[in-house]
Amino acid sequence: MVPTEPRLPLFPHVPDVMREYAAMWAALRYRKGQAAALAVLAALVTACAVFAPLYDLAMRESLVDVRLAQATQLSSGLQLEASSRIDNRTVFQASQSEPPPTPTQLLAKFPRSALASYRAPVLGWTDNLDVMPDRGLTGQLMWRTGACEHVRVVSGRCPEAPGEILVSSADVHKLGLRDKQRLTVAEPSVIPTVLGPTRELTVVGAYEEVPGDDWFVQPLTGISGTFSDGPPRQQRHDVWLTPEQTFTSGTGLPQVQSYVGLQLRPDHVGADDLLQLGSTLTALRTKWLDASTGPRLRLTTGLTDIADDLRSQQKDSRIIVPLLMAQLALLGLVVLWLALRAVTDLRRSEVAVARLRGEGVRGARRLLLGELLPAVLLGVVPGVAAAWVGCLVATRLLPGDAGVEVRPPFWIALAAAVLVLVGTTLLAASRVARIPVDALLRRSSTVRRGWRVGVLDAVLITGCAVVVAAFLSGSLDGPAALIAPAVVALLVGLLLAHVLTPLAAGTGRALLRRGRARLGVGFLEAARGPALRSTVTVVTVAAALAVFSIDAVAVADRNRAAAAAQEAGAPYVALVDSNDLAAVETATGGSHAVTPVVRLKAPAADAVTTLAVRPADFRRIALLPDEDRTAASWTGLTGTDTAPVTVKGNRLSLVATDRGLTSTAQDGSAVTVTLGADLAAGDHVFHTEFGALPSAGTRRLTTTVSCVDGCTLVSLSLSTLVGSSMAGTVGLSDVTADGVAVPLGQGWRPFQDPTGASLVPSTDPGGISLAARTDGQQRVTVSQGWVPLQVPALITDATPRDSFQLTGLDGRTRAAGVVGRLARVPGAPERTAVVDLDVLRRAATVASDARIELWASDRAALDEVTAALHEQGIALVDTTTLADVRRGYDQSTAAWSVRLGLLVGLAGVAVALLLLAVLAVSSWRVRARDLAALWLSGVPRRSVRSLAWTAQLPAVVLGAVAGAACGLLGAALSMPIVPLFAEAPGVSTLDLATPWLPVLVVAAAALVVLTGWSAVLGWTVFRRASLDRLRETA
Amino acid sequence: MTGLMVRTNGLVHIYRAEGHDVAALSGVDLHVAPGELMGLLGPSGAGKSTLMNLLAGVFRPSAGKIHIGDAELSTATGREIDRLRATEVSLTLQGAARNLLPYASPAENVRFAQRAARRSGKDVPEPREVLADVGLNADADAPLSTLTPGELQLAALAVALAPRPGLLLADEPTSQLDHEARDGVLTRLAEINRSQGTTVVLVTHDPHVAAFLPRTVTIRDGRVGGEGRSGEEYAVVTADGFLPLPAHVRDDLPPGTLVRFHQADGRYEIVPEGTHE
Repeated sequence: MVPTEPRLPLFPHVPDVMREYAAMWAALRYRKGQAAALAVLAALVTACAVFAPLYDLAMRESLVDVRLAQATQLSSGLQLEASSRIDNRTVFQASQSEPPPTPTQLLAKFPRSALASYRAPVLGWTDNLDVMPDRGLTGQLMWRTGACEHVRVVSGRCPEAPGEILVSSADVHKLGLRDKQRLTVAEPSVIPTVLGPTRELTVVGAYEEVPGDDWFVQPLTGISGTFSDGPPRQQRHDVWLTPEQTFTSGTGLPQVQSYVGLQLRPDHVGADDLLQLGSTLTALRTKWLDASTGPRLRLTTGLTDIADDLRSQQKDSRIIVPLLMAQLALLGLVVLWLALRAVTDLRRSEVAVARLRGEGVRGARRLLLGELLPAVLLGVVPGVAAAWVGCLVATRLLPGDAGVEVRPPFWIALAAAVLVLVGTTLLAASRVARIPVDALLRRSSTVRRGWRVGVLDAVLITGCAVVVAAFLSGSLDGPAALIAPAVVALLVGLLLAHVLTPLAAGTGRALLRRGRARLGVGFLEAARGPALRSTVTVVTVAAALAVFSIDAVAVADRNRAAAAAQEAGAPYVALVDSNDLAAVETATGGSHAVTPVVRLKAPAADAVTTLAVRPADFRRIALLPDEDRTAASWTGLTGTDTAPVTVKGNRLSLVATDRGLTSTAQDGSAVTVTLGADLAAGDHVFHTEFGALPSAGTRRLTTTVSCVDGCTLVSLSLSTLVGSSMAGTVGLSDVTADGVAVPLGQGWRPFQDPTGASLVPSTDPGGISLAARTDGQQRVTVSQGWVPLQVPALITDATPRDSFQLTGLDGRTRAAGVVGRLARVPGAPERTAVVDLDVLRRAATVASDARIELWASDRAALDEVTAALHEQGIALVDTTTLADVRRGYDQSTAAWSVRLGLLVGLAGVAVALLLLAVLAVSSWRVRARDLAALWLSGVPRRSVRSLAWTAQLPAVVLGAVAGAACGLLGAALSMPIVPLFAEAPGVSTLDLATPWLPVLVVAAAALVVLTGWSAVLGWTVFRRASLDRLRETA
Repeated sequence: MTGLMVRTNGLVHIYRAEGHDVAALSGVDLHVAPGELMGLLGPSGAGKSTLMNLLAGVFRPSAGKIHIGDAELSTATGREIDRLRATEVSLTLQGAARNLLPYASPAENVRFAQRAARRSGKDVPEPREVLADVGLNADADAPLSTLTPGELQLAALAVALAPRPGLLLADEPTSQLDHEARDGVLTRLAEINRSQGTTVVLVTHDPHVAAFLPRTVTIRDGRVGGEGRSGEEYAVVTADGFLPLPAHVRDDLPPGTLVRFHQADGRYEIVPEGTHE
């Protein structure tokens, strides 16, 4: 028989392992409170670590949702177009140039991987055609797959055969196109003398566009019957729809364009997809643009801009969010370390037991880790859950449909958190495990004398000091500035803590020497052990974070509000689709909530923008800064008080009296001098001629004017032949309009030019006389004082004062006189002048490029004016609201990131509360025994109670006050370099002043909560301070 | 199991307190035979606990030598001392709770105390066997909070005996116990000493405990001040020839007193100067 070896168990150590687990759970159960506190702190650190990538991703997805929701089909979609390359070389053989790829071939050139982000492609052909024989009508012919399903066929049928077309109902009504009408068309000729191939088209029906449907991306109708700018000037028709065969049945149209339209599927496109898609499209567009041979390919999309915006915003958010959370995680880690230090100190006797039983440092460490590590790691799960729930809540608050997604950064953050937690626990356990056995057996700690800083604290203090110095010297900037408050607070907290310990001990001894037992013992108690240092440090950092957070949130909110107000100009701003200022004024009537604003911009890029306003209404409605709204200089805008010369009637007549006025041509012959006048009727200025002045004696001169409703005489002029000279005086008197006397009044301004030519007015009884002296000038003019020579203007601080000119209503440059300065003008660029609309419109016609806007403070009032304008056939376009602009600022990762500060502030205070609780839980037995001992030694119960609940108060109050100061200092250091906007506004409204009310409220709240909690914990310890405690030995 | 011999030569221990050097032990010469049961007596601050800690390797001597069995502690490395504590030398601290893991039962505490010995390859008994030795088998799995002070002390004793040490050092093992519990603990100690041959050195203030012990050594002013054997008190001549006076003689012979030694009939007499025979 072969002897068999004894069979070894498969898992020889299983019973030992089970026993280890049993011991671990027994240890955890024994100190449930401490285990729970450690788990909560670990959960906090984990939550901070993993929340950052989750929230960052949610913000990016929200931003994508917002941007795609705001984008039009033109922006978010994609259009691919291809046409023949007709250039200098091929222009004479256009018909022989390489034809463009078919839509299917064009689609094949698009990356297949990117197609997944789009709906089924819309294929098409397009061509621009002139109707023969005279090319009087021009427009676009189009095929799109399923085009008839996206229009309403109002007559006839959808075209099916080659050459059949569906025209717009507007074409039917305005151009007289009819069913079955046959049209011969040809492409616009590249060379006027060369006629390209022609094509027969037959009208088979009419369509109307479906309102709101942008399936076609471009509008199909709206231009029927209008004329092109030319040359040649042609009448235009709306888009004609035709089947594919019209283009593919051998038409030989060389200028035809193939088309592929792709509509984005927003629900299939996430942030990463968008970034990838943006890069792909940019590369493809560049490649097609750079191609110099083959068909001309074009890619049109706004998605690349959206991707660039996302890329730019995520750059900031990826730094801001982790930095904000890192501060909280750092605070949580510091508190976890302090808690671990406290609980490991409580286990010194257990470590001593282990060491006495022959366990070395490793064994003692294993004993501690066996209890502490499970508690810490248990916190990871609720930490992840809390981050998940927090992010879920955040996604509900954020716009869009972003959900919580787990991506690699989440796992990296989680792994880092676990690593840090394990490392911290290992350090804390090693710290006690390494203590020599004799020190472990010592029963009580002594009050520390003098200044002594541990290695870790010294490293921390030095590190923080270096970082703070870097901030102060300006070496650190960017989002890294967000850590300034935490670093400053940590530095101050640590220094305070180390100063306070010997100070408290010294004060305690001094008080005891003076017989102040209660206070003295209180100070000595505080100086004993690490609780004082921990409390001061953590409370300082927590209060700093709370104050900084509210400061950052309030400042960012205020700046977004100011930027939105600056950009919007008024609560509601609508652009009027007309230059009819008189009609607008009629519609606004006496409304106090709506005012017209005319925006005038000279062509030069850096030219001053002019806002012509009604000052009183503008000051009330525009979102001006308070100091600008109340500025006294507004009254200076009205300018001159010269009365206008009003003419009412059709016949304007005056008596001219010769007082030696002569005009001589270059050859010495006498030349006739004529008298003219400029009159303004509303915004319209016109010129009229009275005729030749008498060469001797007097003559009544009469001219016909259209001034039944009243005109204003703005200037008088004398004209002669070009190159002739004038000299002498003429008297003008007895001015009448339809027989009614018109007093010419005062205020006529003389004319004088640098060459010496002049026309000087002087008042005569019943009129004026004009003394002329010219040498070659054809016309000299005197203007009436009611028309200002210089337009009074308020200019912004950024507008240069020297030789200041602005753009008039008629588009011409006007001299302006600065009557005051404004910090900025809402709704206008940095360099802006504000003038009185009534002053500027004197003798000026509104030019076509002047933008008339309606600024309103009230929606209902604007609606009333809108209705009134509609009655006059004037529409409003592009209404901007303050709320919309504000939403644009609020819906950015910069705003969402800074708002996270609120959570950080709250969590910081919560961490401090937790630390106070941990310190109380870990030391209550010793403190209760000390209090009982005081009671036993004769200190009145009342005094003992007072000592108990006030023990931590000085440290907490000092920490909270110092922390608030650090928060403010940190805000001052960091806010100038924290990005508050995704993109800097055109006009800076930056205001980083401390928002004192919220800051003080939060600082006071933090102080009350922390001191209240400290008192409650002290009271709880006091209630356990019975004499029985004195019998406890451990 | 055979008890370990203990021998100290000129043992000195100085510690620093409040900026001053204090000599806790000033040359202790002591010999404890293997398997002996011995008590250390002396007033508070005499150095008893310091001596116990030195014997357990908790403190390092400032001078002198400590032999525990074949080991010499003053030159041993930390690892060697750990191994010695794991297998051969057990110290029980004053206050039973200080020797126990508060969340573990007596059996679990014993098992924990055997962990290092087991790792060293030493064959250790089952925890229940150890608890049975001290009469605590019935409460092996009971929470510590349910045990009486006497039972707690027995549990602490069981933990110390867990690796079957050759030397058991017990610091005031009967303090804070009532008479019955005290006698119970002493009885168990004596049984273990007898049955297992373990050398037992215990510190006590209690004269009843001292009376129970076959040998006591009194430590006074950091030196061996006397020895009692079977109720008889002796002064002990030190290795360098000094003879400490018993406490009751000190008043009659204040410091500076000159004495002479007379030998007669195999006896020595101490005669102060000026005393006539």
